[in-house]
Amino acid sequence: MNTLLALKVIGGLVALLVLAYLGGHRRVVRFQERLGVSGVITAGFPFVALGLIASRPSVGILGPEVIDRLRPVLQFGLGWLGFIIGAQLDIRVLDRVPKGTAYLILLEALGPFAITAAGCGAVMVAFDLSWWDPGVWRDVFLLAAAAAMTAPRKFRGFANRTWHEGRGVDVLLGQLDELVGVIGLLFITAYFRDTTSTTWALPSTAWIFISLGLGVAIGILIFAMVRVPVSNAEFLAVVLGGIAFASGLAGYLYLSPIVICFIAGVLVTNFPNEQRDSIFKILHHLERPVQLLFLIIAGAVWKPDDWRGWVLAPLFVAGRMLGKYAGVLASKTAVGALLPAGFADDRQLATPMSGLSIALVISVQSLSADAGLPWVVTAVIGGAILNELVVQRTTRQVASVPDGAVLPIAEAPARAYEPIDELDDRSGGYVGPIYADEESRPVQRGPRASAPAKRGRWR
Amino acid sequence: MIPLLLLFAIGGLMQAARTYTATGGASATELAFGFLLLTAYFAARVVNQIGLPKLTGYLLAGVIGGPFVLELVTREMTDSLKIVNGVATCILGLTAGAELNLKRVKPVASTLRGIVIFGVLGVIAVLAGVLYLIRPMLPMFNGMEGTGAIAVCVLFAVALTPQSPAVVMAILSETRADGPLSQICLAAVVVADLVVVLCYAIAAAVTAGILGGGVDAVELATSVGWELFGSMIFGIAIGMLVGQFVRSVPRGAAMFALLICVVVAQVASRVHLDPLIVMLAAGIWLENFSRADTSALLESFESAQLPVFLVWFALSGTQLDIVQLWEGIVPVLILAAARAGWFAIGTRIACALTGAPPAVTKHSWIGLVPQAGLSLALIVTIRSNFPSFGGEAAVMILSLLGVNVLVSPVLLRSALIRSGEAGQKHAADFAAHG
Repeated sequence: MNTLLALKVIGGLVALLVLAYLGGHRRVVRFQERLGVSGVITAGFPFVALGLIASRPSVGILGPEVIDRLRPVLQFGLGWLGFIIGAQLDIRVLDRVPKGTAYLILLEALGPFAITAAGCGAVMVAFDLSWWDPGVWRDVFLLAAAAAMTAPRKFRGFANRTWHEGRGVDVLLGQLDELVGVIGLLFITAYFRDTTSTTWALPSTAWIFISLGLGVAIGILIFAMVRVPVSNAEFLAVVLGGIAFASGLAGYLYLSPIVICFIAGVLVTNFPNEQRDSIFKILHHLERPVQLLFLIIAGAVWKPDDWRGWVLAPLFVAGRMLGKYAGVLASKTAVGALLPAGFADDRQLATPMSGLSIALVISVQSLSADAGLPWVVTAVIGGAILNELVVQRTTRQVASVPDGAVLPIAEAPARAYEPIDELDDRSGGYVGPIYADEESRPVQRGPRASAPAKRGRWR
Repeated sequence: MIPLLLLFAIGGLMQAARTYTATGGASATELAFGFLLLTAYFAARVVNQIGLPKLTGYLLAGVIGGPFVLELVTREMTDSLKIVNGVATCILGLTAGAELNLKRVKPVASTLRGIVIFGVLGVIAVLAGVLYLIRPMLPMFNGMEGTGAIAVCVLFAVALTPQSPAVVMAILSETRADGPLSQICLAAVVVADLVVVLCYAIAAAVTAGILGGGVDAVELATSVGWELFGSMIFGIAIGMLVGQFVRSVPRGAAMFALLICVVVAQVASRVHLDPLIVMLAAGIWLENFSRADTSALLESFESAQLPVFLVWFALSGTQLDIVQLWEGIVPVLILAAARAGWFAIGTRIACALTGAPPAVTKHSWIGLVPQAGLSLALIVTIRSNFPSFGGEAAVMILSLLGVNVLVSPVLLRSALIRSGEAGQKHAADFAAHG
C-alpha cells in the first residue's frame, strides 16, 4: 500500500468515524426525529450508505484490505449487540405479560417466517439455485428469521430498551420477537457449518449444545468478572474485554457472536447482582460509536450490484406483512379469548424491522459465503428501507384518523400508559398504545384511560 | 483467589478454542484482544496482592500467555494487534504531555538538563564501551573490526538506551504519586526519549554510511529535522485542533481525541513523523498554551485508556522470548548492570551539580531504567535497516528490555513509596483503585 493510498484510506476512515460520532449526537438524533426517521433502519441507513459508497472501487476508502482489518470491529459489534439484547431480557417480566401473549408472539413470528421462507425460497430456486444445496436452505432460513423480528416504532438505541413499569408494551414484545431471530441463528450456525479447516468432528446437533454451553460458561465468567472491578475504568475494561473475548471465541469456533453473547447477557443480568445498572451504563456509553461503526462496515460488505437481491426485497416485505396478517388472524382464532380485549386488534400490519435483522445476515455472511448470501443481504437491507417507508406511510394515515387513533410518535400527547402487570386487572378494553413513545409516562386514571380503544387495523 | 480462578477459566476457554482450528481470521484478533485484556487485568490483581506493581501483572500475562510459553496467543495474533501499540503510544504521548506543566518543570530544568547530559548521553558512551569490550561474546560482531565495529557499538548502545514514559506514567498513576521526584522522572523520560530518537537517527545514518560507504549529511539533517521538528509542528497543530474542539463541542471531546490518536498512529510513521513526539507536543500545548479546559477531556480519557494500556503492556510481554533470554543471559546482565549503574552515577552527578532535593538525587535514576515502547520501535527499525546484524541485535535489545521491564516497575514503585510521594495525588487515575 503506497503512502497516498494509505493516507486516503485513513482520511476516509476518520471522516467515517467522525460522521458516525456526529450521527449519534443528540441534536442530530432530535433532527431525525423531527423528520420522522426514528426507526433503527432509517436512522442508521445514512451510515450503511456511507459504508457502501466508501467501499466502491472508485472511492477506494474501504477496500477489501481495510475491511479485513476492520472485521474484528464488526465481530465485536455483533457480540455487543447480542449481549445488550440478552441483557435486556428480564425473565421475571415474562410472568407479567398478559395470558396468551406468548402464543401471539409465536404465531406472529411464525407467520412471516413461513411465508417469507416459502415466497423468497421459491424465487431463489427460480434464479437457478438448487434445492439440494444446503446453502440455499440456510439462506432461506436466514431471510425468514430476519422477517420474523419487529422493533418498537420509535428507536432510541438498543441500550435504552429495558422494559420497566409504565413503558410501552411493544418494547417488551419486540424483545421477545428477537428471540426468534437468535434461535434461528443458533440453528443456522449449528446445521450449516464450514468444517473444512477444523479439527473437531462433531455432529451438527452437538453444536447447538456447544453454543448453549459456551454462552452459559461465558455468562458465568462475565458474571464473576464484573464483581471484581472497583472503579469505572476497570469496569469498562472488564465489560469490553468480556464481550471481545466472548465474540472472539464464538467467531473462532465458527459460531455466531450474537447467539453466544445473547445467552451470556441473559445470564449476567438475570442472576442477582448489584452491577446490573453499571453494565447498562457502560453499554449505553458505547452504544452509538459501536452501532454506527457497525452499520458503516455492514454497508461496506454489502454487495447490492446483483439485481436478484432487489427482486427479493419487495417479496421479503410483502411476505413479512402477509405473514403478520396470517399470524394475528391465527392467534385471534387460537388464543383470542385469553388476550386482553383489543390487544390483538391493535397489532399492526406494517411493523418496523428490528436492527437485529441486519446483524443476523451480516453475522452469517461473516461466517460463510455462497452465491445466494449477497442476495439475502440486499433483500434484508433493501427490504428494511421499503418496510420503513410503508411504516411511515401507514403511521401518517392512521394518525389522520381522528378520535384516539395511533398518532405519529413525535406528536403523540401524554396519553395513558398502563404498566403491563396491570393489564389483567383492568375491567375495560386495552388502552395502552402498542406502538408509541418508549418513554415512561405517568399512568392516567379516569375517563380517558378507561375509554375503549378505537385504534388499530385488526378490527 | 477469585482473580486467580478467573485466570484459569479464561486460559482454559482459550486453550479449548485454540484446539479447534489453527487460523481464526478476524475472530483470532478479537479473541487475542479480549484474552490479553482480561488476563492482564486479573494477573495485575493477583500480583498486586503480593505487593508487586500491577504493571508486572500486565507484562506477566503477556509473557505466560504469549507465543514463547503457553502459546495461547500466537505470533499471528500479536502481529494483528499492532494497531493497539500505535494507539497506546499516542494516548500515552498525549497524557504524558498534558502532565508536563512547564511552570512546574521550570525550577528543575537545570537538573533535567544535567540528567540528559550525564545520564542519557553518558550511558550511550558507557554502553558503547561495554559492547566493544564484550563483543567476542556476541556473534553479531563476528568478522566486524575497526571503525565498523565501533559504529555498530554506538548504534547498538543508542538502541539500548531508550526509556519508557509508559511504564513511568503507569506506576505514577498506580501509586498516585506526585512531587519533585515524580515530576523529574516523567520529564526526564520524555526528554530522554526525544534525545534518543535524535541520536538514533544520526547514529543509523553514520553507521549505514560506514558500512555501506558514504554519509549524505544534508539528507541526514533533513530527515532528522523533519522527524523531530515536523512532529512537533504537527503535534502543536493537533493540540490546537483538540483545544478548539473542547472549546466548541464540550461533549464527546474524549472520543474525538481518541480518534485523533488512531489517525496519528496510522499516519505518522507513513509520513516519517514520530507519533510519540506528535502527541507529546499536542499534550504539552493543551496543558500549557491552550485556553481550553482540558481537565474533563483528560479525565474521561483516563477511563478509555485503561483497556488500551492493558493490552499494550501484555503485548509487550508476549515479545519476551524466555528461552533466548536464558541463552544470552550473561551479556544481557552485563549490559543491564552497566546501563542501570551508569544511570545511578550519571543522575547523581547531575543532581549534585544542580542542587536537586535528596529524594531526586537518590531515586531519580530508577525512572530511567524501564524500557518499552521506543525500544520495540527501534527493534523493528534496526532489523529492517541493518539486516546483516539487526536480527541478533533485536534479540539482545528484547532480552534487555525483558529484564528491565520486569524488574524496574518494582524498583520504581518502591522508590516512590520510600520518597513519600506515593499517594500525594488526589485525582483518580487510570490504573488506580476507587
